[in-house]
Amino acid sequence: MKTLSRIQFSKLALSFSVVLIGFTILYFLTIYLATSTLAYNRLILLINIALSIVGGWLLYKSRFHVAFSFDELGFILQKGKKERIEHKWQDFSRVSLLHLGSGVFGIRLYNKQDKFVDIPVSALKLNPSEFRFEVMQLIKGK
Amino acid sequence: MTDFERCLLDIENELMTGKCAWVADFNESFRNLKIGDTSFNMVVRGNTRGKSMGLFLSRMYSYFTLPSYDVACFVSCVDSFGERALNATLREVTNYLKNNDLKWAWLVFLRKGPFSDDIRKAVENMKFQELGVALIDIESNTVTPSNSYLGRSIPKYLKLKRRP
Repeated sequence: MKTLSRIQFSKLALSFSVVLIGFTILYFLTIYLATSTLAYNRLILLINIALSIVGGWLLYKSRFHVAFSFDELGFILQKGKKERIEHKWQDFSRVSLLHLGSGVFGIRLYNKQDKFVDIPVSALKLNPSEFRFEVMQLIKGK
Repeated sequence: MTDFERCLLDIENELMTGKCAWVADFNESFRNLKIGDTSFNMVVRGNTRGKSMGLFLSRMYSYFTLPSYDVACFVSCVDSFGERALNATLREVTNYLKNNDLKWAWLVFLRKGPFSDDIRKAVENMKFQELGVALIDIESNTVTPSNSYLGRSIPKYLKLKRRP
């Protein structure tokens, strides 16, 4: 099985920022409750940044990281740690190229009941149009 | 890659990420879609409101000012093409509009070489309000639109790249 997995730097930056803001708020709350002041120094900032790098990476891996494995028979799409989708290409009958805005593309696979599964091709840094044709061939079973 | 495939990609890019964003947010593209008895090389669906990626105010503005109409663009690559085939395709597209609650659609025929005078005259005299039709000769990049607001807007927004 071929596996594709790319780091999405925008999502990683988002995770880092969220954790940094969280740690900063937590620090100020704690220090204010303990000393009734809002003291802050460079060391605290460096510790917060170091913790946010680790926390941001863990948050990114658990929520946003996308890994996609596929072969001629089917595919496995793993989004974060919780969401795992596994299907055979034969489960689907139609493919569409989806523009999600701001140059972000996805591939939508429809089954016969018109239910669909989206593959986030932009997150995998694939050429959306070329990958769409590849998926169309895989669905046809050729 | 054939000339037709190149043109389809040009049109798809123009619809999804190009100038056509001013008309509607064309966000989903199907290839080789069969509708009724007619097979289209490409069908791109969209909505006139779309989804604003801006901040809160621009989202509010688009929500309250833009109508939310589902629309589509049908593209068919043809070799030999008669009035009977044109009418059958028009019928399929009109039925599709009704069945899927689409407000309007563009229908584009691509051909390598000029279309016959009969077909060109038939298209030029069309006055469908909810359907804009255009014939595009991909060799000379000549566009023959139908005589309606939607038809006349096709050459304005769907431009094929000139190739040597």
